[in-house]
Amino acid sequence: MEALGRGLVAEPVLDAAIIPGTLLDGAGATALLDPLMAGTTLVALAHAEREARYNLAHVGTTARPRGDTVVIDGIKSAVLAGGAADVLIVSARQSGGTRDRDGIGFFQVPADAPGVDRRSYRLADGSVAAEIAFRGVEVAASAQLPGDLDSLTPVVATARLAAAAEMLGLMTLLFDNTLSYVKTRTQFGQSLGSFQVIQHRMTDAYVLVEQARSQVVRAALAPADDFARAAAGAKAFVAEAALTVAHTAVQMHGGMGVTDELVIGHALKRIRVLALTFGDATAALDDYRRAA
Amino acid sequence: MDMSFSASDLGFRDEVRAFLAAELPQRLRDGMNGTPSVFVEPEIGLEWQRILHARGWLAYQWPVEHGGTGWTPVQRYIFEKECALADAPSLSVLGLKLVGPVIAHYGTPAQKSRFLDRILTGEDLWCQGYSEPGSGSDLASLKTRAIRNGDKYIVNGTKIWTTHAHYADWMFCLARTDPDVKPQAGISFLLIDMKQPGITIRPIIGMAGDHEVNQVFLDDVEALVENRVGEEGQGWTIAKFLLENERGGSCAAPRLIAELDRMERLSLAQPSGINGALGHDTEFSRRMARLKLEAEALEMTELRVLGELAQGRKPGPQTSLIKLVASSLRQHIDELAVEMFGYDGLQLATERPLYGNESPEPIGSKPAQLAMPTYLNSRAWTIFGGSNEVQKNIIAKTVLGL
Ligand SMILES: Cc1cc2nc3c(=O)[nH]c(=O)nc-3n(C[C@H](O)[C@H](O)[C@H](O)COP(=O)(O)OP(=O)(O)OC[C@H]3O[C@@H](n4cnc5c(N)ncnc54)[C@H](O)[C@@H]3O)c2cc1C
Repeated sequence: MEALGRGLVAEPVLDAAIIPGTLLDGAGATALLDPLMAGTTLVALAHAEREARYNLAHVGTTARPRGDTVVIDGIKSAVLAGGAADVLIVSARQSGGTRDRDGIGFFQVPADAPGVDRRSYRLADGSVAAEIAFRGVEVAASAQLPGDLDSLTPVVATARLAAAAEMLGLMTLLFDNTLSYVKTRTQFGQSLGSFQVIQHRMTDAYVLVEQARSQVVRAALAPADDFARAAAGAKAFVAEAALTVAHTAVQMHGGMGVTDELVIGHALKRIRVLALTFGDATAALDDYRRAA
Repeated sequence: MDMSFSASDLGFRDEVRAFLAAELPQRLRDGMNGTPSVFVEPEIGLEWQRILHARGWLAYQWPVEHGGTGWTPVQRYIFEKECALADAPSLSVLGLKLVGPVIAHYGTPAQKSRFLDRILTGEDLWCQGYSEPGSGSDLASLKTRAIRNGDKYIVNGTKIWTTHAHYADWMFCLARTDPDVKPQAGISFLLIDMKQPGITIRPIIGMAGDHEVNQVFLDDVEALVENRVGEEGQGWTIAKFLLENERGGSCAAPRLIAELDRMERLSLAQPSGINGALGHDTEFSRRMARLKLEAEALEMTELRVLGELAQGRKPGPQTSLIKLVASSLRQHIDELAVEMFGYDGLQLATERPLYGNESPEPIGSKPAQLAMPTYLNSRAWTIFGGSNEVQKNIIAKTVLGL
C-alpha cells in the first residue's frame, strides 16, 4: 500500500479489493471472493449512513424477512467504489434500535436488483463513490453472509492499516518532491532551502514522515489480539501527520502548489479521502483509547 | 458584538441594513455563497457593483473627488460588516481596491478621466501583472522588459498567476525599463491594453478544478507612454503602495465571523454519530469556539488599525499582521467545514458554477458540496498577496527590528 501511495496510483485497491475482500474472507464466502480476486466481479461494501457519522453500529437500513426472502430498505451513503460495483454487500438491521451493536446482518445484493437506486459522484481524489437507496429490495435469505457487526472489526482494522500505509507513501512522495523543489527553486538569489524557516518546515515534515513510518510498522507488527487497536491508532496518527505534510508541501511550492498541474495537489486530495477511511481521526482515536 | 458606536454610526448601520434588505437580490447572495473559489465571477460581482454604484457606495475606498463616499473608518467597517452578514458578493479588488487608488494617487489628469470612471461602471475589468515564473516572493527580480520606442513601450515577458486575465480589458503591469540600475529602481508601472495582438493567455486550473488564474505571455506588446503611471523607475514605490492596500485596509474579520456563525448553525443540523447534533459535541464546539475567539480578536485588531487610520496615519506593517492572521484563520475555518460534513465533505464536483439552476445536484446538502472545493482553493490565501513567510519576514524586520 505504501508503494501505491508513493506512485499516486489511482486504483480502487482499498475500496474494491481490501475492504470487501476481507469481509468476504472472514465470512468464508468463497463463491464471491474468488471472482473478486480474479477481478471479474466488482464488489463494494455499503455500510455507512449519513446520520451515522462514523458510528459503525448506527444502521437504520432494515432487512425484514418475507417468506424465504429478505426485503431491504434504507439509504447508504459514501459507498466507495459503489458507482461501478456489480455486487453490493449491504449492512441492514434485523432487530434492535438504530444504534444497537446487535441485530445487524450483511447481505449480498446485485447492484442491478429492482429497487436499487444509485447516484454516483466524484470524491476529491477523482474516485467515484455512490449514494445508494434500497427501496423494497428483495433478496434470497441465503444472500445473508454469516456474521454480525463484529465481522467488520478485521475489515476496519485492515483497511485502516492499508490507508495509513498508503498515506505514508503519499507523504514520502510529497516530502521528496518538496525537498527537491526547495533545493532548486531560487528567490532573492538563493535557493528556498537556504532560508532557515524553510529548513525548519522541512525538518518538521521529515520528523512526521519518520514517526508515521514507525506507527505503520508498529501496527503491521502488532499481535493479532491488539491489531485492531494498533491499526486505529496508526491511522489516526498518520492521517494527521499526512495532512500537515501535504499542507506544508503546497505552501512550499507557492503558486505552483495550488494548481492541478503537480502531483502535490493530487496527493493532498487523496490523503483527504484516505484520512476518512472508516471515520475521522476522532473516531479512530476513540477506538484506540477505548480498546486499551 | 456591539461596539460602542455613536448614535449616528448606529443610524448609518440601519441605513446600510435597509439598503441591503431592499437592493441585494437573493440570486447574488446565492452566487456568493455558491462560490468555492477565492474570487467571485464577474457575472455575480459586477451586478452587485452596479447596484452599489447606483447608490453611490461603490468607491468607498477612494478619495471623495473621484467618487469616494468620505466615510469614516468606522463607517467603512460597518458597511463591510453588514455586507458580510447579508452574504453580499465580495467586490473584485483588482480595479476598485488595487489600480483605482493608484491612479487616483499617482495618475495624470488624463489617466484619471480615462480610467477611473470606467472602473466604477465595470466597463473596464483589470488584472494584475506582477508575478512572473521566476519572480514570486522576490518580485523585484522581475524580468519583463519594456523598451521605449517614441511614444510607446514595447513589452516582452511572461506574467503568471494573473487572476481573471481571461476577463480583463486592461492589465496593470510591472516591467523593467532600466536594467542597469539596482533592481527596484529600474521598474515602471504600465497600463496595458489586453485586447491587442501579442497577448496570449494560458489558463491555469486549480486543485479544485476552478479557473481563476492564468499565465500571460507578452510578445512585442505595446503600452503607450501616456499610460505609464508615475515616472519611469517609480514602479516599485507604486507597487508597494498598492500591495499595502491589497493586504489590508478592509476588514476580513466580519466575513470570517459570519462564516463561523453559519457553520455553527449547520453543525446543529449535522449528526454527531453518537447522539444528537455535532454542534453539541464537546470537541467540535471547542474547536469552533477557538476559531471564533481568533476571529473576534482579529476584528478588534482591525478596528484598532482603523482607529489609527482615522487619525490620519497610513496603513503600515499592521497590514501584514492582518493578512497573516486572516489567511491562516480562513484556512482553519475551511478545514473544519470539510470535517464537519463527514463523508459528504469529500465530494468534489468539477462542474462550474455551483450556483444557479444548471449547477450539479449536491450529495447531502449545498454547503457540503461547497466544502471541499472551498477548502482546496483556500490553500492559496497564505500564498498570494505575499506569502505568510514573506509577511513574517516583513514583521520581523520592520516591526521587531530583527
Ligand atoms: C490564487 C492566486 C492568485 C494570484 N493572483 C495574482 C495576480 O492576480 N497577480 C499577480 O501578479 N500575482 C498573483 N498571484 C501570485 C502570488 O502573489 C505569488 O504566488 C506569491 O507572491 C508567491 O510567489 P511564488 O508562487 O513564486 O512562490 P515562491 O516565491 O517561489 O515561494 C515558494 C515558497 O517559499 C517561501 N519563501 C519565498 N521566499 C522566502 C523567504 N525569503 N523566506 C522564507 N520563505 C520564503 C514562500 O513563502 C513559499 O512558501 C496569485 C497567486 C495565487 C495562488
